[in-house]
Amino acid sequence: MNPRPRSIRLRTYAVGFGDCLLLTVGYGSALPDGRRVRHVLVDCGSVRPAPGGPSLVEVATLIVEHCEGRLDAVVATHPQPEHINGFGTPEASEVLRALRPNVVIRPWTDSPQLRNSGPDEAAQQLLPLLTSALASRTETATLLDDWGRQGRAAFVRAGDTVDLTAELPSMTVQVLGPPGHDRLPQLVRPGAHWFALDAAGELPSLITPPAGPWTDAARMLADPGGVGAAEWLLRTLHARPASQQLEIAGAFDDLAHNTSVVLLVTVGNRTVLLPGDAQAASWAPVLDRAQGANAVPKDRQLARRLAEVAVYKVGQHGDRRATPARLRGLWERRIGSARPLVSILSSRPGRSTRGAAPLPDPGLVADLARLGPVYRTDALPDGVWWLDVEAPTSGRDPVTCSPGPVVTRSRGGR
Amino acid sequence: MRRSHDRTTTTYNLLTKETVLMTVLAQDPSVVDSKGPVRTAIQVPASRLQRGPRGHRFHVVDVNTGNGKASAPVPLHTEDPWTYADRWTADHHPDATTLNDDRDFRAQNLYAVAAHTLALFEQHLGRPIPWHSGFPQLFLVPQARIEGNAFYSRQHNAVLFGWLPALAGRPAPLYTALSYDVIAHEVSHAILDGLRPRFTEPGLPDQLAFHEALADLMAMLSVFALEGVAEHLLDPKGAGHVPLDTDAAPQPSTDPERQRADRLKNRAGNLMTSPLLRLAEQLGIRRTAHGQPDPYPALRRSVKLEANDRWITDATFAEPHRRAEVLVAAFLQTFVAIWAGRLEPLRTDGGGLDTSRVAEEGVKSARHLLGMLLRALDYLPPVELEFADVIAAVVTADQRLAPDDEHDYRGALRTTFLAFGIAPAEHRIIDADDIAPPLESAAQPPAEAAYPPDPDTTATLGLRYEHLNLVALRTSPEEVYQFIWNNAAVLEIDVRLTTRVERVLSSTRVGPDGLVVTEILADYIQILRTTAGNLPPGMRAPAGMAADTVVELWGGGVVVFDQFGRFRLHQRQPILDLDRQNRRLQYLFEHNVRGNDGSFGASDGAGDQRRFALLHQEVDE
Repeated sequence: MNPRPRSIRLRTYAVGFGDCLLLTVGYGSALPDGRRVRHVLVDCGSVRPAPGGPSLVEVATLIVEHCEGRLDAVVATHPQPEHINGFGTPEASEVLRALRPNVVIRPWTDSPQLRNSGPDEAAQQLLPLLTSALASRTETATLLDDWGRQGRAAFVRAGDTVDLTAELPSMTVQVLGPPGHDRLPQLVRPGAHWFALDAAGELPSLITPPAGPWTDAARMLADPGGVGAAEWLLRTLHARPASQQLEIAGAFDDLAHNTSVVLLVTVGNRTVLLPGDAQAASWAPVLDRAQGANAVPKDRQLARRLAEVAVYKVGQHGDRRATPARLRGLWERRIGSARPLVSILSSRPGRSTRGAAPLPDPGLVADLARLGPVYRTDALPDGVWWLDVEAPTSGRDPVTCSPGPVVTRSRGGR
Repeated sequence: MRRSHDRTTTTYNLLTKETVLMTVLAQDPSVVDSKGPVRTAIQVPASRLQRGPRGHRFHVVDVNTGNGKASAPVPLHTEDPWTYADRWTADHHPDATTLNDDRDFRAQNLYAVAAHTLALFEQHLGRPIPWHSGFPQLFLVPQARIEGNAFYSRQHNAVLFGWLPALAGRPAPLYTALSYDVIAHEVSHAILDGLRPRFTEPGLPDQLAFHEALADLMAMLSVFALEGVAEHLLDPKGAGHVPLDTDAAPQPSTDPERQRADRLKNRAGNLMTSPLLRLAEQLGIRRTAHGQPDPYPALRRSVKLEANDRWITDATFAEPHRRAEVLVAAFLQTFVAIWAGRLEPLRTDGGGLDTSRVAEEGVKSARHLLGMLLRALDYLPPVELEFADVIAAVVTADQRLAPDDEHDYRGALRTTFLAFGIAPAEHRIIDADDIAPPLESAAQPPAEAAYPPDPDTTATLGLRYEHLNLVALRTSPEEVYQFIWNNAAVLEIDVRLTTRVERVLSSTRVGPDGLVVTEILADYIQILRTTAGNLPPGMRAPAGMAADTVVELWGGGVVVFDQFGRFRLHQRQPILDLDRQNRRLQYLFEHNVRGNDGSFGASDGAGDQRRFALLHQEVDE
């Protein structure tokens, strides 16, 4: 008889702008290897560390300590640096290397084999664009490849179920994203012309602005002598650019975001939603099923499981597009209930890749705060490098949150 | 005669002509016949043409906003700027297949369609329309961005058009500045922004929906009215007749009136599902064929939208794009009803109705309805527009300009809007001429906040003109404010609240029957800034809004005078309308639309940048 899980804990490290979470399941009795806990690392990356927060090496050192030198599974949601550069930079990856997880879960788009063959002509046409676009803006992490070869590599897509019976008994892992080949048009087409131009090497020359004012353009267009009426337009375009650099960078980013592994993890009566950075294009088919919308038959079990999520890792560091209104709508009934939604936000205040929108989005945070508590890594006191949310896996006790201890710098060094 | 003469003449004297014909693409390069892309010629107001091309209202500037590279301004004249020679008529330039790659032609196409669109608005409003920037010219940038779309940018006083270079799988470049509908759509946004700049302020979604609906209707109906388009849509194979299948169906009733009503309804249904749906699909499919999102999903859905009021309670219609579908649908259903009415004297001869006759009546109907809509723009309240105000303004403006409504166009419009649950807000119009009498269908007057009445105003003396300078009234906001001040009670404007007259304009419009109406139009706004805990009596703050949250309420209206300075009409959007203000605050709170200072309802500084961008985004977050 399998030992029964007793508790679930999600530890979120204060990595600044990035994600690094350690999911720990506690069992009531010892498992076959004598341990009573199991650990899953979900991402390890940061591009802007928190002020006074840990470096990636320090985070890696903490992880080794917290999982007592043994990881059971790793999830690398998608290959953007703020999610996986801890597996890629030499110092941090060397610290993590010895953890040797049994299973490495990654999106199917990380697999060269799966990326090279599509089921139909449309997919065959779009896959090269997907590959080139991802290759130009994402990171590689050899440690993930090495771990996959040593253990089991699972390249997943929506609809898969990852069998972790051996590693984490009594835990179910439902894969909601990334979408498979059938949704390639929705993923790739919004930026397809830019991806194609980029693959042909033509994009940079079309969108790279001149270093200074547009003197040559003014001379040609704003007669007399570059000071005619069109000069106002050129000056305004220069001061308030209408160029698409941010927008195009955003399209490449969004493609990568939407290849995120989205996991619905259930242990006992607690469900944790780990969406990576998935946005509406990835969520749409899932929410269609949950709502029975857009001519998709309603999946009542999925709807119930999503509605009952206990802990939500806020998508894409608080970007509104990664927590669609339809998803929030599934949680409306939690307002004022005895089982509010607990949201975990790993971020560092700044701007989105599209430029204008602040991150985390204050409106989204306010919306989530209506549904339940929002715990933020950027709100941790100085010297506190992680926060835990924890709950028993049965009964109706609430999910609790506690910050880690104040850490002194002697631990690890920067 | 003049037309055929113009088409064979190579050079026009712009000093002696009101308009000139310019060759443009009938729809876009993908609509072809045996000679290549289909061309047509449209009337463009004569203006001295500088290289660009640049007239007194538009300036084509060919610069890539990505890398700053420019291409030389294009001259449309030969030597004398008061002359114009059309180099792209079928006679002078038989090979239409080269037009896509001809930068000079692209510049003419863009300039001509934009100028034609503006002229249409100005013709119906009877006055020049200012751009929001205050500059005389709007910039048109034909190759601004790398995309298959275009947008109006208020901050650049420009419409920025996208293009896509040729690549494998797309042998020819795609230029959106060659698409008639795209140009008409975006220039319409710019025109409306000049007419009603506050429609992009934080408010209920009807305002933005109206922006999109007007642009969609202009795009669709102006393409429809182009020479040859309606015929092709009705009779793509050129059979010479339009089969109206429902005419041949057995009549369930023997009552002639009932038979007539059934025939009209069935014919309208035929016209909606055949030519209009075909056009909406053509406009959308062309873009999607290039891997772009359909820019007009609303058009296609509008054509199919059933007339009922379910959208009012359907949350998905809170989004401006979806909401626009309702207004577009109401106008299109009115359009086909009018069209079917004009076809009523015609009977099928077995094979159907004569194509050219059906098309001719369709074009007339489209132009008439478009005229009704455009003439109403000056009667729309300058802030806080709702759909009910649109139908009220259209009917009132039409009543003033076309008192005889022989074909009962106004009745058709009211009936369709009512079927969508939109009743004219008659109660908001104070009409000195009783031209807009109370309607049975009109909604009840709104409950207003119960502030005690202003003890210093009285309506018992009626309208007062003492102390007014009637000459200044034509141009001076201060003089109009004095009129409002003196007549606050009659006009039902509480001048204890912040009130500002923003614009005074004159217009001279000519109705379809030749009636000339000269008017002075003055827009005013009112602002009430307070906190959620101190709202006007009867208003309620949304659940969850803190009492110290700053909120701003807006109202305003249009005051219309005749050419002698006598008051004629007050179309108002009361600032203390409890129902509207409660809905607005709830909407802004739910969608977290805040001003820069965190308040709700105040201008948020995002201006057009955010909201016009919203109009070009995917619907889902």
